[in-house]
Order: sequence, then C-alpha cells, then structure tokens
Amino acid sequence: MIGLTVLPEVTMQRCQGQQLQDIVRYFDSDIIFTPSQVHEPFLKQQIGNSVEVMTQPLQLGRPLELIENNGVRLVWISTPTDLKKVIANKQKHREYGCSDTYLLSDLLAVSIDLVNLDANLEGLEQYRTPLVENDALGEFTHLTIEANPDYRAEWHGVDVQGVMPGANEQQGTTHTSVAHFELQADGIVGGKTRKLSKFGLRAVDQVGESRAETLNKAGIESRQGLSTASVHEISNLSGLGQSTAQTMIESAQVIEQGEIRKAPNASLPDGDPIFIDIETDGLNPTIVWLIGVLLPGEEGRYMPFIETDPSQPEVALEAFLSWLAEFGRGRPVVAYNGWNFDFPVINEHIADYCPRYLDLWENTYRFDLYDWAVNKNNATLPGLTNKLDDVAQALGWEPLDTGLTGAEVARLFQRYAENPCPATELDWERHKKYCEDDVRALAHIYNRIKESTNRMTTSGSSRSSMADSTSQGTLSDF
Amino acid sequence: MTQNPTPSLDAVLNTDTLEETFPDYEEQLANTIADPPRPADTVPAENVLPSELAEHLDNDLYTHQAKAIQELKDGNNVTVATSTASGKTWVYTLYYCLQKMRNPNARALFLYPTKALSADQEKAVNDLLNKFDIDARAETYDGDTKQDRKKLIRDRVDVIISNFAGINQYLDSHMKWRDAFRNCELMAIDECHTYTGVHGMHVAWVIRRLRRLLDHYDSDPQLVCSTATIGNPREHSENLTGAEFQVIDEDGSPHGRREIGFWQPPIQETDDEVVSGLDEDEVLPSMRRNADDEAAGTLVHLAKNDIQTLMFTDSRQGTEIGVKRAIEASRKHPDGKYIDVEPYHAGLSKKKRRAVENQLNAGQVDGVISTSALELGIDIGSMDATVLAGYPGTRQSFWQRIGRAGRGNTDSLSVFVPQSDAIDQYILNNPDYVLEDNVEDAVIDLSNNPVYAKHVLCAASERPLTEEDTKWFGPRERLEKAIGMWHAAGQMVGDLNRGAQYNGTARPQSDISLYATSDEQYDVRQVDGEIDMEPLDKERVYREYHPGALVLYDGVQYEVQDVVEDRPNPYVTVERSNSTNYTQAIHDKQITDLEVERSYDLGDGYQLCAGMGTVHIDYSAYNVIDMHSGEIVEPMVPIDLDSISIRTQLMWISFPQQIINRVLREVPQSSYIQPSEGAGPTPMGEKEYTLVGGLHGGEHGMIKMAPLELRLDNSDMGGLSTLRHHEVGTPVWFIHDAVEGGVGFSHSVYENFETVAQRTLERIDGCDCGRDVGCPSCLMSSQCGNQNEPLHRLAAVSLLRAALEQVEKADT
Repeated sequence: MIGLTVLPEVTMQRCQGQQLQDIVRYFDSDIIFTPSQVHEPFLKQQIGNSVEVMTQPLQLGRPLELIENNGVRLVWISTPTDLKKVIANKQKHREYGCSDTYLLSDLLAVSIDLVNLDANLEGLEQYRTPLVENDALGEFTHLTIEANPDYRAEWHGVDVQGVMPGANEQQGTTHTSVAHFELQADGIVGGKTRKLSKFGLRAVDQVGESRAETLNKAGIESRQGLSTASVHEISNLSGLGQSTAQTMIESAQVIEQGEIRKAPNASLPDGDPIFIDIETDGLNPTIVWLIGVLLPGEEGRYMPFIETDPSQPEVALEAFLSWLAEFGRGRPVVAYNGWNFDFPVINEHIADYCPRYLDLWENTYRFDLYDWAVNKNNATLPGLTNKLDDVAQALGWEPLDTGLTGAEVARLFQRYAENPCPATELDWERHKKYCEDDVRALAHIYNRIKESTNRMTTSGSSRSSMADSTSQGTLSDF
Repeated sequence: MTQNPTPSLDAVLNTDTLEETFPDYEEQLANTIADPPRPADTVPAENVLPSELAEHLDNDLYTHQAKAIQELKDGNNVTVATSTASGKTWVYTLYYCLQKMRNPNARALFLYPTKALSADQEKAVNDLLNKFDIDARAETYDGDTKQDRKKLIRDRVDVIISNFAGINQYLDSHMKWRDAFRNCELMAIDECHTYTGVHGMHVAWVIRRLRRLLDHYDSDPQLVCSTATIGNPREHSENLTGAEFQVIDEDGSPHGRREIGFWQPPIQETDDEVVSGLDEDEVLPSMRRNADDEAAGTLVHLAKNDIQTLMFTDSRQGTEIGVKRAIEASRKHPDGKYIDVEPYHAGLSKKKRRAVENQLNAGQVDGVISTSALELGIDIGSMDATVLAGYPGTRQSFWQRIGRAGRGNTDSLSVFVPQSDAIDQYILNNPDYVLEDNVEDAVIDLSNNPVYAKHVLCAASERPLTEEDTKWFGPRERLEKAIGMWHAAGQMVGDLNRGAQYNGTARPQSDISLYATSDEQYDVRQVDGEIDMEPLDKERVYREYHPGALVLYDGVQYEVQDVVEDRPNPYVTVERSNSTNYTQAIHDKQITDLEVERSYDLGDGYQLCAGMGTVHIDYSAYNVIDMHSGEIVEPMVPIDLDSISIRTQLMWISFPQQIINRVLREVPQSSYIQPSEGAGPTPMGEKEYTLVGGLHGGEHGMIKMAPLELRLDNSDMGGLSTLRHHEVGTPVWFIHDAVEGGVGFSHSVYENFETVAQRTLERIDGCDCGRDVGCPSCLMSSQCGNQNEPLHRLAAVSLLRAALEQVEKADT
C-alpha cells in the first residue's frame, strides 16, 4: 500500500510547518504531492527524508516511478507516450507478479457542458489509445490532478480517480483542504479529505488563522505547547479573554492527552444500548444492504443483518427490525452521526419497504453519540477531528485494517449492482468485518465516555463540528 | 383629510384649474382616458357552499369566486385570472374549508412569491378561517420561522404558508414533512404571473420536485393558481405546474370609474438655452424633464387639493428624491399650505414601513412615494389617487398600481408620467393601449438545460430517480442524458433502473439561486459602503459591470473598480460616484453554429426562424459620454476582459437579397447615411450602410417593444443585424437571449412576431423625433455595443412594413 497525500496550491500557501508535520503524522503519508516546485524546499525542511516529496514540472520525456511499496507502484506520466512506455515495461516484467500500478498525471480533466447535457473527459482519446493498442485497458488505476478527490468514474474502460481538492468547481465546493489516498494492491483507493484547519494549532477550539499567528508570535508553536500553557499567560495575549484562553488550553489538552471531558450534567441514555452502523449504495441510497448491530457485554455480540441481492432492498432491514421488535424494545439504538445519515435513511426505507415497522422505529429511542457530544456540547472528544476513526483511535482503539472507506464500500456495491457477476462481487466477509470494526469503535467511544469522570471546566462551544449545515457529509466521514 | 370623496379629472386636472393653480403650467396634460365603472356580478353563496359556510357570509360571492369553487368541487385544478383585489384568496381558502369539513385531517400548502406577502396573507387566511368557524389554522414556515415552531408547524398546522426559495430547501428533508405531504389536499400558488423568465423556470422545476414527493406520499392535491390578468393563464399555469387547469377569468368584482391623465413632462431647462430655442417638433423626448421630478410635482398638486395620493417610482433612491422634490415644490407653491409626504420601499426598517402603512390606512399622510413594494398585497386601504412615474413594464402592473386608488365601487383618479424611453412614449401616444383586453403573455420555458440539470440533481438527492420520474422530468432521453452527464461528472451514481442518486457532498439545493442560470455568480461589493445587491451572472458583469463602467443601481450611481475572477467566488467591486457621465461598452459580436428548431417560410425569400446559436461577445472598449451634451469625453477606453461565448436561444428574420432595392426606393436619397471614416474593415457604400441602419433599427426596435406583448426583461436580450450573415447568407437581424441556455424570450418574440413587429412599426414610424437616425424613444438603445451606429429610421420602417406584408401574404 502507498499513502499518497496531495496538497493543492491554495493549501500549500497557507500551510504552516507544524501543520505539515501534523498532516504527515495523521495520514501516515509515504509521499506528498503538490503542484508547484517552489514549495519543495519548505516541504523537505519540515518533514525531512521520512516522506517522499514530489512537485511539478515533471517533464522528463519518460515515466517517473515516484514510489514503490510492497508491489504497489505510483508512476507519474507527462504524456501518452510515457503511458506507452509504462505499459511496455509492465508487460515485460509480468513475472514480477500482480503488482498494481497507479498512474498519476494531469492528462485527464473532467468538464461538463450544461447546455448540451454532456460530460467530457478532456484528453481521453489520446490517453486511451496506447491502452487499447496494447490491450491494457483495465490494468491501471488512473489518478488525475485535474479532478476532485471524490471523483471516480470509468470512461470507456479507463478507471479514473481524481486526487486534487478544488480541481474542478463543477464537482462541488472548494476550500483549503488536504487529500490522502491509500493505494492498495487490488485497485481499491481509500480516500480521505480534510480541511487544513484540522491540523496544527488550528485544530484547537477557538483558534483560527489569526489566533494561531498570535500564539506563534508568543512562542507557542504547537498544541503541546498550548496544552501546558497557563490561562494567565494566554489571556495576556492581545484579543484573548480569560474564558477563551481556558477553552483553548482545555481543547489542546483534550487532543494532546487523548482524553474525554464531559459537561456537568451530561448523561448517556439509561438502558443497554444497541450500537448500529449501516452500509448502503450511496449517500441517498436505494438499498441498506448491511446493518451491523453490536450488543454490549464482555466481548460484545456482533450481528450483521445482510442482504447481498441488490434487487431486495427490504430484506436486511426487515430482518433487523423483526429482531429489534423482539429483543430490542425499550433499548436505545446508538449510531455515530446518526441524525445525519443512518436514522433518516432507515426511516425512509422503512416507509418505502416495510411501513408496518414505522411506529416501532419512530418510537424507538434513537441516540446519536456524535450529535450529543459535539453539537449538543455534552463532551469534548479527542482526536484531530470528531470523525469516528479519529476519536476512537485517540482513545486507544486499534482499527482493523480493512483498507475500506464508506464511500469505497458504496462504490463497490454500485459496481456490483450494475453488473452482478463474480468479477464485481464484493468480498462480503471483508465488508462485514469493516462494518463490525466501525460499530466496535463506536461502542469503544461510548464506553469511554461513560467511564470518564473528567469534567469540562469551560462551557464554551466544542470544536467546530465538521458537518457544516450545508453539507450532508460523506460516507467515509463517520 | 380625505374630504374629496370622488376626485376626478374635471375637478382637479382640467386646463383651467391647472393654469390657475399649477406653478408654471406648460400644457403637460397631453391626454386623458376614462374607464367606465363596472358593477359587481354576484351569485348567492348557497349556490356553491353548504349552509354551514354560507351562513357566515354577509354578501354574495362574485361570480368568478363561485365558478372557481364549483370547478374545484368538480375535482378540477383552477386558475383564477382576475383583477387585483377581486377576492382570489377567498377562492382557495373557502375551498379548503370545504375540504376540512369533509376530512378533518386535510391539510394545505399556500405558496406566495415573497415573505412579506406570506405574512400578510397568513393574517387574511386566518381571519377567513375564523369567520367561517373552521377549526383550522394557517401559519407561515419560512426563513424567519423560529426554530422551536418548525416541527410543530410541519406536524400540526393545517395550512402551511411558504415560498419557493424555502420549498427548494425543505424538500431535502421530506421525511419530516411526511404528515403535511400525505394529507395535503390543496396547493395554492398565488400571484403566479410573477413566475416568468429565469425565475419562472426555477419555480416550475421546484413545483415538479414538490409534486413528485407529494405523489410519493400518495397525495395528489388539487391546485389553485391565482394570477393577475395575463394573456395565457391556462398555458402559464400548466407550464408552471405540469398539471391541467380550468381557467376562470370572467371578473365579477366591481370597480368605479377610473380616470387617467397622461402627463408629458415639459422641456428640461438647461443653461445653454440650446433646447429652448428649438421648435416643438425638434424636441426629443430625452430633452424633457425627468419623470420622477415631474410626477412629484403632480403629487403635490393633488395633495394640495386634499387628494391623498400614492406615487410609484422604480428605485428606492427615486422615492427619497421624490419626497425631497415634493417638499420643495410644495414650499414654492403660492398657497403655502404644508403637505406631508413619506417614502416607502423595502430598504426601510419594518417599523418605519408599518408606520407608513398605518398612516395611509388612517388617512394621516397626504402623499407616499413608493417602489413596487406597495404594488402587491400589503393592506393600505384605498387611496384617492395614484401617480405613476414611468410605465411599470406590464399592463397588469400598470393596473395593479392604478388599482391602489378607489377600491371597490369608488371612482379613482390616476396620472401617468412617461419616461423618455420607447415604451413610455408609445403609451403616451397610444393611451388606448392600456385599455386593450389582450394582455401580455407570461413566458416560461422549460427547455433551458442548465437550470433543468440542477433541479434533476436536487431531485436525485431527495429520492433516487427511477423510471417513474420521467413523468416529472421527462422525456426519458432528456432525463437520461442529464443523469449520464452528472454520472460522468461524479455527481450521481446508479441509473433509472436501479435508482439514480446524488452522490456529491454539498447539498445541491443550496447551490441553486432561483434567479440565475449559472453557478458562476459574481458578488457585488462596494468599497466605500454596503451595497445590497443580488449577485450577477457572468454575462451581465461583462456587459454592464466591466472595470470603469458607470452603473446605476437603485437610483445611485457607482463606478466599477475591478472584476476579480481568478478565485472560487468571483466578485465585482464598485464605488459611489457622482459623475455627470455615463459609459457605453463597445463590443464585437458574432453569432455562429445556428441550429434551426422551428421556422416559418414567409415566401419570396423571407424567413422567420427560432433555434439555438452560439453568441460570441468581445467587450473591447468603452466610451465615457457626457450625460447632458451626449459628447464623448473619453473615447475607446480599453476593457481588459476575455471574450465570452454563450450557447443560447435566438430567433431571426432573414430578408431576400433584393430587399435592398425596395428599401432604397422608399427612403429618400437625401437621408442616406455614410459610414464614418475608418469604420469597419470593409468600408460600405451609403446604400448598404443605410440598409444596415434599417436592419439594426428594426432589431433594436423589436427588442425595445417586446415587453408590450410579453412579460420579459429585455435587458436579458440582445441582437445582431448584418447585411450578410455567413450562415444565413442574406440580410438578417437576430434577437437572442442573453442567458446561457436561453429563457424563452426570443422564442416568444418568434411566436408573437407579427404583433411585436406591428407595435414596433407604429412606434418607429410615429416617433416625434422625426430624425432619420432615430432617438432613444424609438431606435437608440443604451445597451447597443455599436454606439448606436448605424441606425436608420425610415429604412427600419420600410423593412418592418415589408416583413409584415409578407406575413399577411403567407397567412392568406
């Protein structure tokens, strides 16, 4: 696997040294790519030799292997001729085994023509020719810096994945962010995009660009430094009051020490919780094909309610609900970021496919741990973001490395539903495990909150929630 | 104060009185018309209502109310197209009462164009529900609704009042609206004539998205559209909603005698006395006093006669200046009587607005000068008289404003003061136009793909799109194409068989501006203050907001400083300016890649076509021109903007090559025009140049006059005329939409070619200017990219006449 981190120019221009170090640590990057060469010295200076650094221009007249890791290769190509050479090379060295090669370039750009309702992948024709001529269609995953990180589509057999945040406005909003991809041997790309403001001092509650600068000038350059500063020292800085200072320090401590702080009077639901996580075929899904349920206890019992036939959207749901009716009455159903996704999706699908359970579901106590902690300000959670993985890991959870993300799972299911056959069929066991890992992480956070006796000393707002009011989040986020 | 019960022309606006009491009267009163009174036409309420409801009524119902309720009882959708204040709210509220009596769970959605109107109507609807003793309540749900009321309203309130900007957003969480949607038996769309052009397209798609979700919850509410009188109420309602309608347009409501004076402003006094030396027939309309100033004077005259008067003007600034002018005029007035005049517009605080409304209601103010804000809805009782500074653009709006005086059976008096532009001057010369029955058609065109595609994306985020949805977003090929495009762009997954769902991260609903076609919206920022202005389309920025441009917004002049584009959210910066100049951008325009969708062969080489084309515009430079002298102060200041291309709708009329002979026969040789030296790469002879002037004039004239027949905004249109177009091959003039994808404007000109051309001919032929090159009241346009050159009035008349003759020939 290769960990590829991509920083667009607009992010690079604002990125501070400590943020960069944070980014590399957070993503566990193997290689960093940013378009402009001018940033290379800064990058090298900040992160040394532990991580490869790549910038443009890379016009070498030949393909350039950027990195190779356990049989996975990442190669930069500048022209279709480069692509030809890569193909020839790969075909010559078939004996090296089933290494997967990712090609990175700026040769493919997505554009849409709204007046004619046409979409176009510019550069496709020249790009595709060597692939077709050498019978190599489908052999690579093609990464392009001319498309956004959540872009993935197949164009006449060419599997294209975007990597650059903000590359294309037509594909969604842009803000200063960092994208990271885990390039795996089977062509699976686990992508994550994070805002730059989630790193370094700015990850701390109440610290924006200008306060980070104020702190820097005062010699406080890291969260670690802030977490051990005194309220007095911080509140003496211009523009910072006593309570702001306290909130900032406390937030830095929470992140640095991996601790939970609970608000006074914060309480979790009575009764044994039922933890759930759902897998679907997208953000506005046509099917909930897996509902992972975890019951608390010593080891915790995991029950996957699964239906692999895309044409039977009611089966998994009905199985879950009939179980809930029999064994779960009166118990809280807990999900992470549930009000933004799991709960309304289940609700809608019940209304569509098994309305007789609608009363049961709507009368069930549904509890969204994320909403309770972050939006309702009942607890401050550690981790650089409030996303499930980050919080759980900051609390000592060791994730199972399935290499999947929610978005990737949905994409794979879509691919299967479109053309159900052995070639597209999902590795169901792997998915069950992926889902299990997420519910277990959720239970882990829940239990740690329950056990925690740390109190928030400030009543300030918690760190900005990542679910902006205008955004419906992404599948991989929670 | 209002001691004058029936103000009339005879009493206060006759020549004798005016000469006696109007300071410096110069025979401004050019014309008068009177619309005779109309008695009420009623039927007993029991005819259509059960006694439980009818017994609460003190009066009979107007015939149109009764007919509409009967149609609804028969299960039909109804469009009520009657005059202002004819009791249209009663129709749908009464019918809802009937539904509620039949089914206690029945709920309804009443949708209004603005939040202000919603608030006003909430009260009116609740008053009616109380009056009829119906156990139901109406409440507004919009951006101003308190968070803690929202769930309650969704779950419980019988009649939910909202607007389309709100609905566009709420549809994404339709599960929360399940009960309201499932039990929705009636949907009322009020003032639906306001939904035209770009805005109309958006609203039409929001309605389809809403109806689709209602359908999903097994609900198929009856629809009521209410509209002011428009030319095509059935077609418009059907385009807007996708449902079928019965039209009720025989107005049973009464009105009193309505008298209108047509008031031509006198010649503007200037320092140089150039103008005063001219004979009457040499005066151009643009040399006359500004309509706002003159109207303020007539308001003072009326107020001095104890006639409470409401004056309408087009800008906020205009209301404030008008008040100042009125107070000055009143001070100078020999009778020395004090009058109290207040401004009214949406920029004032709520408190201030309420205060003025109350003063009007109580008769405590002599005059109010308002923007269109007081044209619709808001209850201010009835005025004694109204004054209109400038034609408001449509007959419906004209009568809506006039109708603010003398509601019910009382007589009313109004004064219309024209601006110098073509339409106002046409109406001044043809006052009967406002009395004609055939009113403007509302234009809605659903063929614009950029707008369509965005609503498809929203729909896919509300529920996956399937085969069934072709009935809302079809035809199938179009829907599939849109899904295919979004799929390829990474914004959608799935297909119609399995369900196509939205797959982006941001909510697409938030991306929709109900007034624009493109995402690329330019904010307008003022460097020395806070301008409150909707973002602009790129096309508009390039056309009117290039750096250095002097622009007028809401009556205030600004100079554009900068256009900042190399960033995700582009913007324009402007600064307040007090220049006596104006600017005119010069552009080079080309039209290519014509695609004929409809055409009409008029015979003998004349052809009328409608279709799509690509309009390339390069804004290369601008002139700074002195407002008073018309002289160029700074010529050809370069504009540093890239050229733009838009693919849009257009129409054209092409003439046979030999038209040149006919035109030159009809135009006296002495009036032929010469190209100025160095004009253009291929110099033309005076004959060709004169013909081009005619083509150019015909194109300008039709664009200027189109709003007389169609509800459209002619600043969103443009044109091109040429002696020989490389794709058409003959003399031609084009009229195109200035919006990406088109909005149906130029296509509706195609459909109404004969009437628009006829009006244009009348205006150009009859223009007072008498000049060969025309004037701003006939041919000249401030939007022209060619510095209004060449223009030839007689040649334009000759071409229009030839085209109309040919149409007649083709028809018979």
